[in-house]
Amino acid sequence: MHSAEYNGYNQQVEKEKVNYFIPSSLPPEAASKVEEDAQPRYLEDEGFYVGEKPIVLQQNTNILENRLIKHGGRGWFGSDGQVDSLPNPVAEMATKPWVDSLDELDPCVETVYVKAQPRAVEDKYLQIIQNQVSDENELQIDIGSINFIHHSLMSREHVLASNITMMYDEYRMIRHKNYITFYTDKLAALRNAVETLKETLGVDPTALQKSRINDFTAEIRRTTQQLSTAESSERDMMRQIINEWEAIKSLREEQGYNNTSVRLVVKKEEVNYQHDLNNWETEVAHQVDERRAEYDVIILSAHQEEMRKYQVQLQEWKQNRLKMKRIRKRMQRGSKENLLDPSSEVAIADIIKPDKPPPFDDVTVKNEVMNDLIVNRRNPGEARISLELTHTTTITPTPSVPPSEANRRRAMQKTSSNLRVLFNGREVFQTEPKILSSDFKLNFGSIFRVRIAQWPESLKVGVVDTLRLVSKSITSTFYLDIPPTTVHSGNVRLGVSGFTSNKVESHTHEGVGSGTPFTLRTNETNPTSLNTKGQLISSVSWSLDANGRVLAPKGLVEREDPISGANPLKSNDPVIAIGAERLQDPESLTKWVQESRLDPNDPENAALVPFMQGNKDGDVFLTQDYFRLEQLQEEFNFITEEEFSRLNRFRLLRLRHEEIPEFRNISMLPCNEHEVTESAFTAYERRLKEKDVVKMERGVDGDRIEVLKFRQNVKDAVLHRFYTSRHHYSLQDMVHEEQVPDIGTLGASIVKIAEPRRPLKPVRKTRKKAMSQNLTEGSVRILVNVVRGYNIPTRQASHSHQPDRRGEVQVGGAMAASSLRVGQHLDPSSKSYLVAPFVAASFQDATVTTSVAQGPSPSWNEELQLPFCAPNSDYNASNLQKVDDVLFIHLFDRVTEDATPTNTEDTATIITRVQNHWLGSYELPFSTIYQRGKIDGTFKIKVPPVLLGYNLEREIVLYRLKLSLKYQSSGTYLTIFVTLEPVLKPMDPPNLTNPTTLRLKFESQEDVSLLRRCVTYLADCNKRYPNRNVKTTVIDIKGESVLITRFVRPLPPPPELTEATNTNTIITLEKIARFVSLIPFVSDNVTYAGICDLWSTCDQFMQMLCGDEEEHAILLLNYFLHLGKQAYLLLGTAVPEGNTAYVLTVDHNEYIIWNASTGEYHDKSDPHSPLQSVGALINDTNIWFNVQTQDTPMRVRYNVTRMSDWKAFFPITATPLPSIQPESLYYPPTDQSYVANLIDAVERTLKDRIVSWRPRHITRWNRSGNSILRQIVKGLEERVSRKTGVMVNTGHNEQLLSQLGDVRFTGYPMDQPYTGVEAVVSAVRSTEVHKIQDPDVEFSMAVHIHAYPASVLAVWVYVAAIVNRRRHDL
Amino acid sequence: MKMSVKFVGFTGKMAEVHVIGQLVGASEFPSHSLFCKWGLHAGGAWKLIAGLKGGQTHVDNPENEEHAYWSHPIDVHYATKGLQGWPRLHLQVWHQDMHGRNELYGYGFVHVPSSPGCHDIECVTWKPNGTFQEEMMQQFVGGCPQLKNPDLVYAGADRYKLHTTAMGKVQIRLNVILRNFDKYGVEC
Repeated sequence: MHSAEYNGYNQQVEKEKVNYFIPSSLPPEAASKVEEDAQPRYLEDEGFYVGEKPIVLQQNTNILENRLIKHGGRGWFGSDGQVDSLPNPVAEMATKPWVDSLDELDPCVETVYVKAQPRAVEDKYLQIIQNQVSDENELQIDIGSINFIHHSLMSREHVLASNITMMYDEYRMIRHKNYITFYTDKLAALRNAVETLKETLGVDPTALQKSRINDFTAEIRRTTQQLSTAESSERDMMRQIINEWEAIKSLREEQGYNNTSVRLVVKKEEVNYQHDLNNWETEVAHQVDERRAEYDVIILSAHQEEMRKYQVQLQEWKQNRLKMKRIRKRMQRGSKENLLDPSSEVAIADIIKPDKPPPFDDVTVKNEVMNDLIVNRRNPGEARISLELTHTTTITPTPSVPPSEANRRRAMQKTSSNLRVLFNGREVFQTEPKILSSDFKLNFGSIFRVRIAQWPESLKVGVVDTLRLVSKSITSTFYLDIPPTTVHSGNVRLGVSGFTSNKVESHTHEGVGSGTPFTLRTNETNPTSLNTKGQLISSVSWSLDANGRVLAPKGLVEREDPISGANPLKSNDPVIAIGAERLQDPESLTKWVQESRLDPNDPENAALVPFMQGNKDGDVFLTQDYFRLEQLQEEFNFITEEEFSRLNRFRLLRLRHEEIPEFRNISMLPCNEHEVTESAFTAYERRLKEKDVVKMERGVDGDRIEVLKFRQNVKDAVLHRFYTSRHHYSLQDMVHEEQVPDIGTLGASIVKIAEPRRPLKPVRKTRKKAMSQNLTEGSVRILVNVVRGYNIPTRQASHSHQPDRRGEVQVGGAMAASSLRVGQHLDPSSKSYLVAPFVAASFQDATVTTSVAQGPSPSWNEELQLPFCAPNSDYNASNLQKVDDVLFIHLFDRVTEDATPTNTEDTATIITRVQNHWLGSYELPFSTIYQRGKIDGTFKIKVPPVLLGYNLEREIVLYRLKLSLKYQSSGTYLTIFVTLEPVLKPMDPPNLTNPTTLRLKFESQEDVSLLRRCVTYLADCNKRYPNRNVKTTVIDIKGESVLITRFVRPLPPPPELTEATNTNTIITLEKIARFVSLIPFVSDNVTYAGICDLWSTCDQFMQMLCGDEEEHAILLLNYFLHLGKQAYLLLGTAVPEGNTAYVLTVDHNEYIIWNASTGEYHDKSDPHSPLQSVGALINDTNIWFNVQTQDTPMRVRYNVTRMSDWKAFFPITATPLPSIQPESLYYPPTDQSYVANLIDAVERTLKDRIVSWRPRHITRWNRSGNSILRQIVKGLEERVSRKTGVMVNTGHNEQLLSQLGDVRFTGYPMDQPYTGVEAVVSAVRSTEVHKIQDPDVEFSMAVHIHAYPASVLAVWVYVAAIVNRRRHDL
Repeated sequence: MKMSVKFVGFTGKMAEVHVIGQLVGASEFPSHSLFCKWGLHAGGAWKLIAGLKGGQTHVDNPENEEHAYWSHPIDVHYATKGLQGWPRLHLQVWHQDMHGRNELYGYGFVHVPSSPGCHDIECVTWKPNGTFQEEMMQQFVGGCPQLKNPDLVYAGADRYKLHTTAMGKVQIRLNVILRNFDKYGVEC
């Protein structure tokens, strides 16, 4: 270790000199830099280019050179003794030109400063990024003035004056159009034309000329009528105006002062009486002539034609008769049988001599014409009157009027009004307040510009009245239309928009008030009541910028109707498009215009004039200008467009991408072109073809085609909307967040640990819902747990005496018939084991059965499993939603019978044959199971109304004891439990967070305050009883929310149903319910795949002929209301439908609940009623929510006036809101020939099918059986619509007994609404009649279709197997 | 890729391009909490037959890394009639600030590689400079000058006139599968 040592500075420098080399900054010797003993060469002097060397400081150069020399780096130096260096690397000019002034900036690279924006919620904000719409969207709103037509401060005189002004305006409009002169001229021209035509064409006109004359005469007649209506309406108008003026004058006299300045001046124009009279007479003569001509053409010629026909027919008939006589004579000689041809008899009745029409009566016609002219036209000599309304009367000054009037004027001066404009519900500006002038006009005259950043949805204007500068009140609000993009401030015109106010005001002074009754004229007895009403003269347009560009957001579509236009989704809505189709297609419009021969001079046709000449200069509307973007594209293409589109694989891929239903879920596409066959597209192409020509199903006529088309259109539109919205995801769809445990949940879990263990008490575990991606083919099953049955039909007692012939009707004469009757009175104990029922469940071609039980109340308690396959193996919720398969649960009776021939020698062996007799069935749509998860309950089995060999009416002692027995249904019931394993997650109901559904919700024509009230009402109801079914608004077929009460309106049922019987009897109601239930049922879930419930109005429903519970219920309710019943729509839950709608009728404390889709009805205390809970009652005035603690139908008190039991939607029963239902329904009569054809078609199909189901057996048809069944089946519809009448089994049997002889008979009649032939076929198949194996079996079948009006058809099929016993026993 | 002169006839096959990959993430941006809007732009001869050709990633805000990860999938399938208008991927990187407001951070674009196989691509981004006032506003209240015409990102020849600032890089991984191009005389 050394101690610290200090050396002096100089010493240190010395030391460093030894170690360090510090190059000197003095220039080194030139000689040391170049080759030894060489002189430096200066290349530049020798004429070489050396370039410019970079500038370095001399001192630095010296240091560098010295260092290089020290290190012996002579190589670094050039021959000139300088360090070798490259030319200056720094470029003097910048390679990128500097654009210094912003003015020169190319517009295409312009940038725009955008502020940081908050996250765009929903799509309401304009899409800045995609559409590149800057914030330069500007609406220009020009508020002109307000004209009050009625105001609460108006005096009586003002009211009259405003009336007269309005009438005068109308009158002026009529005068301006000058219809009278127009029609008179036209008439004269037409008559001239006819005259000349008649002159030119001589004696024998050709058919063409005749038809031209006829055309002209028809036109003349039409014009004459138009002329008289025009003239009479003008005269009426004048009369009214003069009356009003009289009223004003008398009022002014009576009150002694003037409030208004109006004054009517009547101008008379004297006319030449003689001239007029001449004109008038010629007019009469003309008209009489024309009528005569018309008479000749229409009536006389028709009569002649008929006479001619009659002659021909008569001749034929005479010849026939002669022939017949000859035949008959021959016959009488030959055989005894008198073959009388019935057709010849009928023919006589058919030929009726046509009546001769009454001759043309000149005098009466002339009188008629003259009367017509006197009433409608100006009479000869009557002065021509014209009216003029002036404002020349002086208004009496305030000091000289009575105090009440002075008060009114003072009040007017204190009242000022201004306008508030709200854009998308937010106030954007207010106008200056203006004081009412004496003529009730407010002049604003101000223009406002509104910059918008949101999608324009609504523009609302509120009229605010300010009284004495303090109290402000909004009198009325109304909406202005958002203009289409073509309307800008350069071309906009002021328009009129009307508004009304519902505010009730009354004054102590002369002001008549608003919404309060007052007497307008002194002699009037009925007070009138007027609401404040007015017109705003304003305009809304898009602003123009400096370059004349319209500052409207891109993508704003032209709106045709104010509600739907703004929504791009709606632009291809066929429901809207149906009406406007022709207008969007100029070609067909041109065609139409040309075909309909419009008058080009008629001012009403002015808009169509361009289309009339459309043909002259070729296709004006079809020429198109081209702009090609990529000019050289064609030359470099691999393949042409045409070849490209022919590629099948490409087409398949594209169709899959577009989510065309047929291709939506194809997961495996062939890799090579040749592996894709044309057949892959056949289904799709067929559908495309059918879209235009709906498939000509057998027997489907024009009516049904229309219906199918309409249904398809609606379905396509709704589905399209649905699929577009499906691609919008909300955060909840993408991110699943587990709830973070907080104190509450932690505490609960701690408490759980401390809980006593109770191993014997099982805890219900909720089953886990399976996600769709985990599901594969075959992993989903439907579990059907069949528990027990009640009241199953028993075999008729007669069979117990003959055990070898169980299950068939003994048909063999009077003895058997009497034994039938005896059998019904046997004591119940002997009836046990008279039936061996079992249940078969079938779904998607798979059928499983339970074991066979015994007796009418069997208990199976068996679980059946049925496999479920989703279409295309796609287990997505949206796909499952659309599965329209049905789970059938059939009830059969198993009958064993001897098959051993009686005459065999081997008596020890007995062969029996098993036969299943169908007793009834129950249908459960898959969509219901899927939506509800599990179905649990006791269901009524649909049993055919006539079940041969079985007793349907089993007496149920328990129920018969009750008093309210009248409507007790005593059917057959099954207790079943159905669920899916594993549970599939149904599609979420549309949630409010999703912006698209939110928008769906907001689309409504209802008042905003009403909608808000709906929301609060629903929230309140759901808070109190979350499980009760209640609705306030529903979505109609256009996708708009409509208040539910608007669907209720009394509608007349088809007159066929109500005539003949007393309208108040239960039979009529049953008939109507039957009619409604025959309209096919299609669940919304299937049709509109999980979107939401769509309600259609009754006319749409009748047109589409399909709907679900709500449509049926609404129609039934409207019918009942028309019959004067007290009826409500009942929203509740039922098995198996879940939330549903029923109809409740109240009649003297009898409460009947109708299931409109099945036509069944139950008393409220019926224990087997499918209705489980009552949520709400609705009629056309109000909605009542059930706030009682009980909601089962039998415990609910139905008195809706009790506030404590029912919560009403409207606090006071207001007048019902206008309904959206039509006033009446049109029931087109069903085409009988179509029905006859349909019967034939169904019968033929069924016979073919039955034959094809029995491939190994001969199928014989028993023709006499067919005709008997046909007779029976025709009477069945009458019988079934009368349910209270006891099922007439015996009468039915007797018919058979007498005609069929000794046969065994197994058969079932069944009925269903007609939806298609296939539905009928599957119903017949489910009876399993065709499975009867007996070698001697013969089949009979009859089909009957009962046609109700409006193509509602009830199909009856009676199918039976007949075994002739006589032959069998031989 | 080169075009060789061969007899080219209608072979009944279409040239296809599969682009499968992901927007991996972004780095070197001035701050994080970034998301990206992307789109694929192809010429008129190209037909999209499956997949989405545009989208937006989530906002990623890593706490301790100078990198934002999106791993946003891209899976598109094109069929084409010709080579013109080879698909291009264009991007907009956005920044979400602490108030939840969005501002533009950069534009960028790359061509989809024309050789088959896996490609790791880094796309540099830039954003336009504004005027002094706009720069100040950007500093204090956020926001950014944006192109009026965003097509300029991948289409413009006039882009040199823009004053821009370099921003970060976006990492993209794309797998390209080509099919049937050889049938039309294009060698890959």
